[in-house]
Amino acid sequence: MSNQDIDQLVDQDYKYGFVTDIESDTLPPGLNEDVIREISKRKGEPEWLLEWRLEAYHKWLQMTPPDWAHLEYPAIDFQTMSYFSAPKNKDDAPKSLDEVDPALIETYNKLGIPLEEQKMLAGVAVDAVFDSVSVVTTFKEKLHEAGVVFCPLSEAVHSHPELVKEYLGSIVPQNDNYFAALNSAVFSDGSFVYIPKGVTCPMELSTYFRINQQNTGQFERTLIIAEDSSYVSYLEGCTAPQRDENQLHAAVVELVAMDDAEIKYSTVQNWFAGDDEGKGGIYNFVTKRGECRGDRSKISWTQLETGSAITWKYPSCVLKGADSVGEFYSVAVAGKKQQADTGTKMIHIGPRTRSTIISKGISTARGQNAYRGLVKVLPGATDARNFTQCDSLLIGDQCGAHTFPYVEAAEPSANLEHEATTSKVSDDQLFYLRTRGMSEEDALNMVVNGFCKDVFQKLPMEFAVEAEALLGITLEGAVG
Amino acid sequence: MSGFDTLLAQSTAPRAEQARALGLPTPRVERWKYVPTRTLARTAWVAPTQRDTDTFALSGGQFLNIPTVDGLTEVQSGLTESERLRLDAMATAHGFSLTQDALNGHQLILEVGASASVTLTLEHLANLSLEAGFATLVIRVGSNASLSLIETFEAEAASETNLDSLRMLVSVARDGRVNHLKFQAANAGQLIFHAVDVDLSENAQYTLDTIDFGSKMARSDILITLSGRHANTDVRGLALCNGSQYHDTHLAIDHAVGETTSAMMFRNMVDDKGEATFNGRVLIRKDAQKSATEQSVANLLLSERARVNPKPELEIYADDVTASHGCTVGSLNKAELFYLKSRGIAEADARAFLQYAFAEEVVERVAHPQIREQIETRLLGELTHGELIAELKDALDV
Amino acid sequence: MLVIRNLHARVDDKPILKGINLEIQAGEVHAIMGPNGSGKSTLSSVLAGRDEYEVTDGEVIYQGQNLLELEPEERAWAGIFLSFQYPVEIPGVKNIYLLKAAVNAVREHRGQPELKAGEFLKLVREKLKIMQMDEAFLHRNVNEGFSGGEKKRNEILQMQLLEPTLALLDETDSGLDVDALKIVGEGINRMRDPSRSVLLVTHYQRLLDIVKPDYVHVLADGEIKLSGDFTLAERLEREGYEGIEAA
Repeated sequence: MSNQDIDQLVDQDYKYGFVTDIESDTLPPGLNEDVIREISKRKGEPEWLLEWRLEAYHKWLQMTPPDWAHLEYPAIDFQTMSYFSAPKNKDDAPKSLDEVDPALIETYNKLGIPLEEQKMLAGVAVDAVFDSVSVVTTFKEKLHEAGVVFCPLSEAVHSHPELVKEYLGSIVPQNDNYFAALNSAVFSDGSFVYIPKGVTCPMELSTYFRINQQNTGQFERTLIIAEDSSYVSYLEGCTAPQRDENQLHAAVVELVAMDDAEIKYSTVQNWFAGDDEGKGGIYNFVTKRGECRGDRSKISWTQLETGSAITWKYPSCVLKGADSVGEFYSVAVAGKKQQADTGTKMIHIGPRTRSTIISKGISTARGQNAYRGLVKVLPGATDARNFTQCDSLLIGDQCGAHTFPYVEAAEPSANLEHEATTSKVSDDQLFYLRTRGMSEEDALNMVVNGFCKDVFQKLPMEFAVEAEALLGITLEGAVG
Repeated sequence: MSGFDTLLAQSTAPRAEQARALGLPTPRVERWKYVPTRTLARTAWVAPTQRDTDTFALSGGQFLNIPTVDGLTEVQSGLTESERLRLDAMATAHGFSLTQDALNGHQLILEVGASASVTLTLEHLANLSLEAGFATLVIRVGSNASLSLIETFEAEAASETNLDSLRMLVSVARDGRVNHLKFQAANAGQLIFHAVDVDLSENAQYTLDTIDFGSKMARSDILITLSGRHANTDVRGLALCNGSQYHDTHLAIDHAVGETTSAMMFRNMVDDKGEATFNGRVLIRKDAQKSATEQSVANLLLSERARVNPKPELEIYADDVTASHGCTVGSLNKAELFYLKSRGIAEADARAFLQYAFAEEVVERVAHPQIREQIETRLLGELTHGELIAELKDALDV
Repeated sequence: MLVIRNLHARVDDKPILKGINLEIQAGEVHAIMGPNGSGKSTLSSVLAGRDEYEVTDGEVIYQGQNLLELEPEERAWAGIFLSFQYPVEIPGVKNIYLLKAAVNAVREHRGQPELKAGEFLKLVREKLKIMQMDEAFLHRNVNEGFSGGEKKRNEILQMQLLEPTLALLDETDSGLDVDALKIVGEGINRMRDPSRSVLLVTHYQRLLDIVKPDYVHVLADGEIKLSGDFTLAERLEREGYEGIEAA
């Protein structure tokens, strides 16, 4: 890393902390049946979806928030939040980037992800969710040619109602957990992806999420369906503006892979972590689950979690199909006063199912980082295999690193292996690098990047670059 | 509702009413997630009676024949403030611990004098049918003293449903050491609940070898607190579950101060419809710098209906530490089986060899030769084809 | 003694052996040489009965019977011994338990009386001396914590005790220093006998300088490309595998 880069790092407090000034069409705070009817009405949803939302709402009312995670935060008052927010100009949606609100374009420029440039350079179709409603969708034609459907879920409700009806809530049931139930009741929007039989999606699909409205909970809902022998790589990246009040984010992601299909889902999560005292950060309660329904199917989760004040997230794989494969590669960083409780669940149901879990946790400042994972092997999952490696790195003596690996095995031919280590950054390594002329910070960056290498190399190229840069920003000030 | 309601209703203990109101923990309680509570809940438990014996024994919630040996005294003056607090914490851990507290029979306090060296062998006598016996043993080990504590179980008793509960509080002063060996070979009707709370001062040491072969169900809650610098602990456990046995060990090690070390090695071997749960939690507190811990958990599944639930946890708040754990679940290693078979050893014998080897990593450390012999004999008896190894041992071990 | 005809084998759908033909008579020592990945170790593993290898074609006749039908232990009883390239560590099992159990299992199937502890110990001590191994090895766990050289010596010790009819020695020279190589090589030479055959699998000539083979075969890409006498090994050493294959 050059000196220029370092200067840049030092200058950055929170690079992506700003509020874009766009007028919003926002519902007043509070949650009740009427609010849900209003959300559904404003989105022009069919009756069955409204009923589905209400059903979820009533289940949610009966549930209590989970308390088993290694997290401490004040109780969330769900009546003080607003559950709908959409940019005003949604009725005359832009046909091209030229028609997009210039303030939005500027936002993307500040984020370093100008759509125009990205279109040309990376060939990535971007379905940008600005607050709750998708504003811009590009590359539709190219995807259309391949038969791939990639659109906002709210659009898919109308264009592909039979698919949405069949799969919505089939992987993550309404009452799966407290936050999934809430999402099911009030979900704002998200992406819908359908890859037909035998199709390899011609480009990486990505969505950039922004939370940009005060007191607006974001409740994305994403659904990806990969038919037999298809392939898709989906990228999700997040940044958020700086503000004072905690914001709730409760997303649901559902994936389903049929015979020989493969879904690769990558996330870079960089929401506002709060200030050094933990004030103002995002509360991130996410339910992500993929079902390997078909034989030889594969679902791979890769994540870099550097943001949010609270992260509660366990991307999981239900391995139903014979010979199906689940993967989870994660780097989670908890600095400042951040708390992360994240991991995965691998549920082995089909014979010869295999899973791999590589989790790298980094704790700095007063951050608390917990890996929580479950490997479950049901009877009949003959010759199931799992390998789990959880490594934790502690930087400084005020932080914590925790490992809670659950195993439930009920199949004698299964073979499971779990390894975990916790250590600090080696003084010897830092010293060695510094004798070779590196600054302490560069040396630390290099060591930490090395620690995360196994995970980063699973990320798509352009994400890997962003990941390394983000890690650098997060570690800034961790030494000395 | 639990099978203890009648006993609790008769009890005048301070926590009896609370225990009755709370009942048994449900699987929603994390620490009781896998525990089958059926027998516990549905048996109409009755007050225990004592049996006759002439050795130091626990029978029906009473300690019998308290030994009079040099360096060992029975303390009459009651618990210290810190012991009382620790016992309170133990009692309020979950719904059933309240019951254990409320129904406690005998509370025995023993003290091993400074620099003394004492061996204490406690035999658990089986209770009669439907009897539930509860007792508490408090041991203080003086500075530079050493205690060898051996717990054995009466094996020949009838296999009717009965319950044996023992809470143990051990405090080890500076430079003291305790070697604790428990060989649990109780009869098939017994439910066993053991809670051990050990506190180690500076440079004190506690080793535990816990072998669980018998009983219908055995649950151990072990907490070891390293409160003084250079305190260290080493725990090895082996649980063998056949038939429909359930064995459950919850082991927590608390590195409260720096420069403390801990190690744990646990092996579960599960056959038939057996189920084993192991929860190993290591906590390294803030400022407990330069502490080290190592955990290894291995689980051998030998039948289609066998179940294991291992969970080795690390909770670390200090940065200059070394902590690692490893956990494996599987059946017998194919490469090892092939190697033995290529040397002419029949499949069944080779399987027995590897099961024996799996257990032996824990058993071989048992320092007490007679008990180790008993353990090995019982182990070989439990294996489907243990005869060949038994013969080899007879012929080759001197 | 051993006839291999058109042997094909694969691992995980990947063909490794692609038609091996080889005949070994009683008393002969054959060396199989070849570059890495040529299938040398696969051949000895298939002969010993490792089940990761799937035989897809061909046959192996050992002393008139179909070898491929036998379980690994049945092959051992029939007199086949494999010295492993990577001897397996078995924590918790004493070396001496394995040795005695193995010796008596094999003896039983040969119709020989079981060795009592005293007789067995006498025999083991004799063999330990030949292999220049300390008696402490007997009481350590099987191969656990042994150095590479100790493991190989332990393999040859087992061979001496089991007195096989056909010994398959898989890269027995790898990981040995000069002294250990000599001990192991002489240990093998002692076993040479008109009724015993040896198949040596090796990458280098150095073991062959001590254990002179009657025949040398070059294995490449799953097939025997060239056979000859000891001079072939010398040629290989001079010209390398590429030189030979080109010729």
